[in-house]
Amino acid sequence: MKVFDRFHVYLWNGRDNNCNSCLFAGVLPGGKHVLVDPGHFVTPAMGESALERLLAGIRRDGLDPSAIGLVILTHGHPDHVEGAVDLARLGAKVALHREDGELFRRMGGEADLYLQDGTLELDGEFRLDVLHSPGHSPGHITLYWPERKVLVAGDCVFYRSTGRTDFPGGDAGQLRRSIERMAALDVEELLCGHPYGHSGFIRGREEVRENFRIILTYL
Amino acid sequence: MEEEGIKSALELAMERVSKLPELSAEEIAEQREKEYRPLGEAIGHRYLEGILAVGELAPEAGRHEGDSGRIVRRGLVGCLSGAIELEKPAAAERALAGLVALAGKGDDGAAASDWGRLLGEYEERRAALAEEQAAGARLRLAALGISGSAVVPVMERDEGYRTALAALRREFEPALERLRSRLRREAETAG
Ligand SMILES: [Zn+2]
Repeated sequence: MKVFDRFHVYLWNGRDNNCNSCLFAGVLPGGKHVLVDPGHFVTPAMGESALERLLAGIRRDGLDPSAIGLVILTHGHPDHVEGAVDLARLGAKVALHREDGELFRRMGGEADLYLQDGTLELDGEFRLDVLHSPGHSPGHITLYWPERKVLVAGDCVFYRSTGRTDFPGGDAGQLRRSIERMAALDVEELLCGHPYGHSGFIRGREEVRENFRIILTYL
Repeated sequence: MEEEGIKSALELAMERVSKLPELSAEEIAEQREKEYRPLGEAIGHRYLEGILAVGELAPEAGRHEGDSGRIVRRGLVGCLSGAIELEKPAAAERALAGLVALAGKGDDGAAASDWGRLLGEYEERRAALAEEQAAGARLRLAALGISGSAVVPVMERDEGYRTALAALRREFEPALERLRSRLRREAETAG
């Protein structure tokens, strides 16, 4: 689904667990795209063809999935990264934080570059801020597009709730600090990592603020 | 009795032995080496994994006497000296402490300082190399339209870095081997 120029979201609506994805269209040289969190190839419990559905959604938006030049992973958990292994075989570069590199390797993937806290410049003119946001996993990152006030939060925050911290490398204190940092940003579009109790795409500055307020009250 | 027609297991074994061709002294030595060296290497591995303490090395190796004892000790010393690698400094330092103990020296300051100097020089050169090669890797990513302060090249996968690192290791190898062979000599003869 095209949200506005250059920004597309793909909200998971299957019955099994899988993540939400998004795409920054035409931001790489040659009009290539950046895909964030491709999710499962096939969901583990019910065998839903998750990657195929995502690629079909991208095609419906009039975009060519073979033009995905870069896949960014918010973190290394299988329900976010599995499809990246297949996309890398088709020629896409894969980026994630070094501290989640080992998780990705265990899925059979290899990062082409690591991302750390700082600015990611694409084709010299498109800018994303990368925030290292540990807590759910040690190498979790979130992406902020200041121009359109978009925050891709991965598994740090969901609608009225937060990501788990009981996985290896999880840390509740770190997650709180990561969320506080996100809450201080000016966000109008918040894409959460999963559609838990809600599509996971929270729109409007007030709605986003309210979500952070409720989460931080109970965290 | 029926058993008269049946050969005992002992008789069968004796027959088999008598059919074996006679071994030359060299072949016997080779067989003993094959038999006892792995015992020494196993002691070395158990020590490097932290199962044995440094003080247990000599008594463990000393459980075998004579020629076989010497082979076991050689296996142990070979295993430990082989673990002195610049890429794995923690294991190397443990191996070094083991070899010094086997040589009967409470503390070999010279070996430790030679090792420390080699490791320091190597790490400094490797860091400079990574920095130098990272600049090239950043340029290659920039050519794909990917740049900025968030970007960190994966040097482990960079062909140029890997080739340069292999050359750096080759450069340090002679000095490292001199240290290994000195420690080996002292630890083997002290037994
Ligand atoms: Zn996760």
